[in-house]
This record gives sequence, structure tokens and C-alpha cells, in this order.
Amino acid sequence: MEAGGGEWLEVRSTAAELLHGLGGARRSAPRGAVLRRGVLSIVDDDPSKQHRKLPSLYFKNIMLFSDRDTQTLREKTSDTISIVVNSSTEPTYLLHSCSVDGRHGLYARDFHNRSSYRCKLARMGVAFNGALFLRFSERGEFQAPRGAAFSPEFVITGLDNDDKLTPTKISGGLLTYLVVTRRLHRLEPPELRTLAEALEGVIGISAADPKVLLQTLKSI
Amino acid sequence: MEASAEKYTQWIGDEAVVLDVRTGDLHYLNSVTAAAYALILESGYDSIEKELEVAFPDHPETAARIDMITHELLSAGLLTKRPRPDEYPWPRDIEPQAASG
Repeated sequence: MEAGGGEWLEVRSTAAELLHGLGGARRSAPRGAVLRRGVLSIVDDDPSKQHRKLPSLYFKNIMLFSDRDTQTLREKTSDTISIVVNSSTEPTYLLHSCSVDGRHGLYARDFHNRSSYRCKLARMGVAFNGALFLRFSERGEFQAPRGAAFSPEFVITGLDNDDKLTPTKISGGLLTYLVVTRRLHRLEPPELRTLAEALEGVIGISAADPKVLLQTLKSI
Repeated sequence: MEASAEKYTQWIGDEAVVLDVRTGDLHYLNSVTAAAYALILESGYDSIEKELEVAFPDHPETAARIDMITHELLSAGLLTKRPRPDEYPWPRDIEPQAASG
């Protein structure tokens, strides 16, 4: 895939048929281009295996998305290619959006759509948008590709205490740093300033137990 | 020792996030390190000991803490070791010349 500026991104798969029809694809990068290898990988387990893993999409070595239906996986891959290709010009973060009782927040605890923690939160009523990346605007709002722009009121992090019943709360510089580390491509100073302002007063919460996390979220 | 160039510092309360404008690397500074870094930017590294003693008068381990902070800032590339004047090498292409006359 061409990513602009002479860069090409490699999208690979263990099953060649999963790559068919992805827009803008070429079999190989043109001569002289800078090729970023293994940016996106679609892994489909051997169908003859008794315990077959779900077909999955990886961003570098991070498992992002798994689904039984390969067509859904292909659509998600297509969306992800578009986002990653445009991330050099549009501020993009590897974060997910979620909401609790109508309040919007960022989910930064893990990356996978089927992580057990996320599934437990979903069963307890936390709504996940399903987007794998979020864009960040100059107005200081986050937005999923097919969602409305929002200002986060909380960030779910993964900085658990050893004590499972006590939530960890962070804010200010540490929270800003944590969010900034999820930025694709290089950040410029004006965006860091806007992000710090957008996260002013926002609390990052973590707890090993999802019930504790949810109780804490509802109490702030 | 001096503060490295090409760094953008976003102060957030008493903490800071520092962006290396050249490499894109990011560093988080907690309140103590951020205070020391602010002093270095404002008054230079040489005055940090005096300034920190004023800032933390009741702290008995100021020297050890300065060493720790210095190490942290050096590791993060936010401080650069400045060579002493006697450490400056001769330019290789200029030989010392004999006095004329």
C-alpha cells in the first residue's frame, strides 16, 4: 500500500485470498520505494486444526481484531489500511472509544476487540464503538471513523495496583504522556499542547477487577 | 552540563511532557524532575544545587537526589555534557604555529 512520501506499507496474510480486492494494493513496492514491512498482518489459522484460532488482524505485532467471519475481518482490514495510510497527515491514535451511562471516554487498557477485560465491561453495560483507531482534531476532540466527535471525560488505563480492590487514578502529565504514546507517527508541539488541554481535568482509571473499575467510573 | 537543544516542553501542572522535536521521542517528567528541569532551563545546570537546596530546604539527601535527577535527564537526552575548555581538541588541520620574529 502506498502511504505517501515515497513510503509503502506491507500488508501480508497467511491466506492469500484474504488480501484480494483490498483497494490500492500492489503485489510489491516499486523499486526505490521505502517499504515498511509487516505493518498489517491477517492471520488465519490452519482450517484442519481441531482448535482453530479466530482469523485476526495484527498491527505490527499487536493483535487488534478477531472475528469468525472473514468478510468482517476483510472490511475491518480495509478500514484500517485507510486509517494507517492517512495517519501521516491526520493525527491518529491507537485508542478506542467507549461510553458509560452516556459519558464518553477513551479505552487504553488493551488493543484487542475480544480481550476478556473488554468483554466483561461490555457485559456490564460499557458500550464500545468498535473502531480500532481514533482521530484527534485541532479542536481537541477525538473521533472514530463513523462516530461523532467527543471530548473524553475519562481514560481507562492498564496501570493496576497490586491490590485488586483499589483503583489507580492518574491525571495531568502522566495521563497525557500515556495517551501520547498511542500516537501513530510523529507528534508536533502544537498537537501536544492541544492534547494536554483536552485532557485537563480528565482522570485515568485502572483496576484489575472490571467491577471495581466500573464502580469507580460511575462515582466520578 | 547544559539543557539539550530542540526540545519542546509541555508543562502540565507541576509535571511535564518533553518532546524531542528532532527524533519525536517523548519523555515524562514527574513533579520533582520537572522542577529540576525548569531550574536548569531557567538558571543553568551549575546553579541547580543551590536552587534545589532553596526549593527543598528540609531534604537531607539533596546531593543524592541531584545525581539521580541528573542521571535521569541525561538518559532521556534532555541534558548534554558540556566539555570543559581544556577538553576541547585541537582542530586537526591547524598546527600550533611558531611565534614569528
